[in-house]
Amino acid sequence: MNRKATWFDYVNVLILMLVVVICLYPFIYMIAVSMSGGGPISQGKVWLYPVDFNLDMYRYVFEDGRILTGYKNTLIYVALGTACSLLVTVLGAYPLSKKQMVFQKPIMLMIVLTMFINGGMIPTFLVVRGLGLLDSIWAMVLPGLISTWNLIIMRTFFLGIPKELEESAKVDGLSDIGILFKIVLPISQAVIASVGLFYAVGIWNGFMSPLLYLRSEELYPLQLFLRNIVLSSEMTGSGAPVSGNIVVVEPAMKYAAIIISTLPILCVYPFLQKYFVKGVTLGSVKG
Amino acid sequence: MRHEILNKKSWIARVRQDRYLLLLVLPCVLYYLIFKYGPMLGIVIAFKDYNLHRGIWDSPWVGFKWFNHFMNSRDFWPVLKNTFVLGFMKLLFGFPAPIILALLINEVRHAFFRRFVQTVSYLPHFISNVIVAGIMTMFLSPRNGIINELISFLGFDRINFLVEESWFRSIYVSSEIWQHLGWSTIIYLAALSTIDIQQYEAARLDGANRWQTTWNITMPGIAPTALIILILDIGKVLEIGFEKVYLLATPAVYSKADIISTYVYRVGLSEGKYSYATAIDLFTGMISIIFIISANWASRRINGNSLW
Amino acid sequence: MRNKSVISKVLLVFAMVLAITACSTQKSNTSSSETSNSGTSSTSSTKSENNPKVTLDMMVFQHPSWPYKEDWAIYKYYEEKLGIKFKVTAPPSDYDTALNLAFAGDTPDIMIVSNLAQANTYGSSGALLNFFDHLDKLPNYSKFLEDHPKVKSAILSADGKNYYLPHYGLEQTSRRSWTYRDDIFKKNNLKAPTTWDEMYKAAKELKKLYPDSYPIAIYDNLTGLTNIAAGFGTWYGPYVDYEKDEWRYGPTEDSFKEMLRYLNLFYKEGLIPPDFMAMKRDQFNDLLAQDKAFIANDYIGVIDEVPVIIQRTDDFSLDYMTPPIGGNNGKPYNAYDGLLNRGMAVAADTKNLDTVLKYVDFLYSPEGIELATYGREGETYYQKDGARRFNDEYVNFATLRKSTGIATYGSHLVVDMKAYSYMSSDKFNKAMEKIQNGNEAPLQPRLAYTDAENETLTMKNAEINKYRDEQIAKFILGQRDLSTWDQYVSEIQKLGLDEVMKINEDAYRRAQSFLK
Repeated sequence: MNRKATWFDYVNVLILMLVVVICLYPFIYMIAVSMSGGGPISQGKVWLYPVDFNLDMYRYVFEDGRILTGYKNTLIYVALGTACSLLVTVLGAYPLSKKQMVFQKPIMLMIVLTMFINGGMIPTFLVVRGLGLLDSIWAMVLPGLISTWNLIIMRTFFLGIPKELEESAKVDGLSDIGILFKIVLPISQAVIASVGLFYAVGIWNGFMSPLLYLRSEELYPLQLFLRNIVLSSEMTGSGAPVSGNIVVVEPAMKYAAIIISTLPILCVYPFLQKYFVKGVTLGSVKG
Repeated sequence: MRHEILNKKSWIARVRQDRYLLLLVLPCVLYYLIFKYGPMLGIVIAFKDYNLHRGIWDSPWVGFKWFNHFMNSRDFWPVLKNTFVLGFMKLLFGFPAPIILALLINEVRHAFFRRFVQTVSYLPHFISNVIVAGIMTMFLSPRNGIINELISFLGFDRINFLVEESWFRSIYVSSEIWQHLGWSTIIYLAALSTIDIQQYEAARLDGANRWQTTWNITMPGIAPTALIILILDIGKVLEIGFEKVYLLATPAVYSKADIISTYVYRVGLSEGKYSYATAIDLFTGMISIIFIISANWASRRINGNSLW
Repeated sequence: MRNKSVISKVLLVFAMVLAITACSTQKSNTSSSETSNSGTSSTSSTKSENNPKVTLDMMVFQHPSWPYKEDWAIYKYYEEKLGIKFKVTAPPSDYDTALNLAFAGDTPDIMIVSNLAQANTYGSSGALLNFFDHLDKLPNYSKFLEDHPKVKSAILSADGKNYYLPHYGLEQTSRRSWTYRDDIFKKNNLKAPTTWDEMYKAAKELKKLYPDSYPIAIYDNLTGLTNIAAGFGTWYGPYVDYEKDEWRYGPTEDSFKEMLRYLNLFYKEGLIPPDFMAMKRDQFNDLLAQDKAFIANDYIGVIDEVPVIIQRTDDFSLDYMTPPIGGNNGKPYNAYDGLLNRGMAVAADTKNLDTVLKYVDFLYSPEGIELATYGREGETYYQKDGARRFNDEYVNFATLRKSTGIATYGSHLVVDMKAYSYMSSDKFNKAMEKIQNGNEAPLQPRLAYTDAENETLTMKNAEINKYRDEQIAKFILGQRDLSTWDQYVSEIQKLGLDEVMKINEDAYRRAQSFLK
């Protein structure tokens, strides 16, 4: 792969650098503001690096000990939820990629329809409540167990696996389940990593189901504590902007909350990227 | 031939034959039955005057009242049109963008830079809509926004972006693309990784240049995924989230920015008008189903790819 | 064999899931039966500190500045005083959704409702307690209503019932007002404007002195118009003209047009920020911080808050400005909302009726107000030179609320605001005095509509308000010429304004008839 760099490579790198700047700058800006003093922020002096460096806003957020519980809960929900969701999605997507399977069509149709017609929040809440899931860890896992979009994407990848692979495995005496675990999954690392990431991020960022289904504060995930900080436009005007000896600077506080709530999940993706390496696995199986 | 033979087999025989597959799909089906089709009975509230306290069954029937309300509203056509146009623009620009980015990333030789671009481009997905709207407002400000500074530096008149009707859709669509570009690219990168590397080597030996390998190997490799995503996106054209539109819209641009979800909000969902909201949901859901069935049908006719 | 082991693993996982689910189901069942047990024991409790304690379920709104804490002292005092414990649910965000779900599921004994309309909607469907049916057990509340007839007129349902207990006291601080940079004005020998013509002149002068400034700061879509309209003797919506005893619609009045003429002029000449509609509070603060705005229209609290937020230690000073008079009908008025929107309500089917009534009535009693306002001597406050001072670590009102739970939702209905005034600056307290003495438009009534009226109103208002706001914005921005005003007025009328006005008028007369 030692091709000589062409003009295309230079243009390409330039375009991608532009994408990098556009996507990275707001984050840098948020980090800078979250660590700056209220004076420089309101004077418009902060744009790339912190001025009057301080970590007051982070201190303020963490002063509320519940944030740590929130982290713990979120981690549990993400780990358990992603594992369950991924398992059920893989198990479901594989048979649905077999077009000759009995009931395949009606099941697919039934699944796709739910993307457009749904009972809505209250009826779903009543079902979850009826199952006795309210205020339990399973309320964070089961109601959102499958994302139809993820299921369909996974199925599309399974559809693309060469038939010869599976047929030769059948000749070797593997059953459908054996093929799934021995042949299909090993060469589907990339899609499993992606869908796993989608599930993990979805659970990590989710605030609606915890809001609807959890009552006890000790079960609250991180987002429930931080969302209000980010959303609230009435921090000032609510009394005074001073809490104890910390001056609550609204933008700094909001950005600090964003950073606190996204940093851990941001770190996941780079570790998954090794599963995106081109073509190696399929080639080896074939070879 | 094979198809006919299968059809002739009795159902029971086919179920027996596919028993392992059916067992695998069972949890999935159960999930949809319990958590999707169970609540779906609640759709009857679209035909009722739902009161939370009385409950779904004891609330009085009102027939098609809510549908009539919506369709006879002065805002019905503008809202429907705005939603469709906005959704269509989002599809038109938002669908190809991640494919292009994925192809560009794919061409990067330098492994670290490739990973770096991948990681950085997905950051905006994690910024909530409130903050995105805030950042847009800041950058677009006619007073000191960076974009207007650039415009005036180049010698043009500053543009008061957020109060000009003609700018609203472009602003919304570009903010959507910015926010979700890198995120949507992930799945295409996954698709790219399934392409057999031997194909590239064979093509190179045949003397194919970069464009030819991209066109003949890479594109067909991600086409099935792209097509399915396109079908799903077409089905979702009318589904535009309320939050960001609401945050970016000033009253001066209502004639372009009032969409179905903001209408529902304006009519007062917070006051518990669930019947009306459900009716409107059902209405748009029906249109969306027509969209996706058509898209699916077209796709099957053209190249045999389909959802069901 | 191997395949079978895979299947069995999969099955095992699901068996586990089901088992754990079943367990958690059981748990929630037992906990609900526990609460109902405690419910039955409660009816026997009368008063006094030693009786067995009753636990009440309460759902409250919390604010990120003072998030609910279980160990707040204020609830401990109630527990010791009244023998009532509280199991508080405080949804961290999206309160209305959480409350709606509570109505669909398990309604708490006591809850904070977001506004009167919400209370009346649930009340009329039978979910909430009508307090007027229980006035015999609410002597202090009855007395409070007698003493505050204006409050009484703002808490009724369309059929004269009462599902909503008002908060009283905190609304004082949520006043809107005009403020100005008195230091800058003094430095440049300018006088605070008293009319909109003077305001124009002052703004022009300031713009000349500070060319990159936008002397008058308004922000957040059109919300600023509420307060501005009051100075023009009109209102940003339907309102009652008490002098003529008639209902009028502000946004079609000539005074309103006059206001838009000024705003359009100010916009054209760069005297208000060009992006005022898109601006949020952050940008508003920045304008003040950077000496780019000198007159502001916002909550009165900014007098003390803004200098702290923007960390200006120099002469920076914001002071109260008497509202400038606009047009011929103008008066030096700010708009005032009166009561807080949020109120307290009680579930109609509460199993602890007597305890609940005891609690809410206590909160209206002199003793209760005292406790809710101050907490306990030696614990939350101390005496100093004959005045009561909160502990020194509660450096301001927000910290006091956050640390003790005093004056938060659920823990009070009435507080005596005088207790906290020493925590604000003299400037702020003087401003409060001025605003209450002659600088406030007469309080508009808070109306209750029947279900049928509500339905018409939501549909009509959705159309009217959208058209109104869109056109008003265009008038200000100059995208529509004010010469087409009459056309705008007739267009609004076509949208069914008369019907809306009649509903308001009916509701108003109806409410008055209940008060006689």
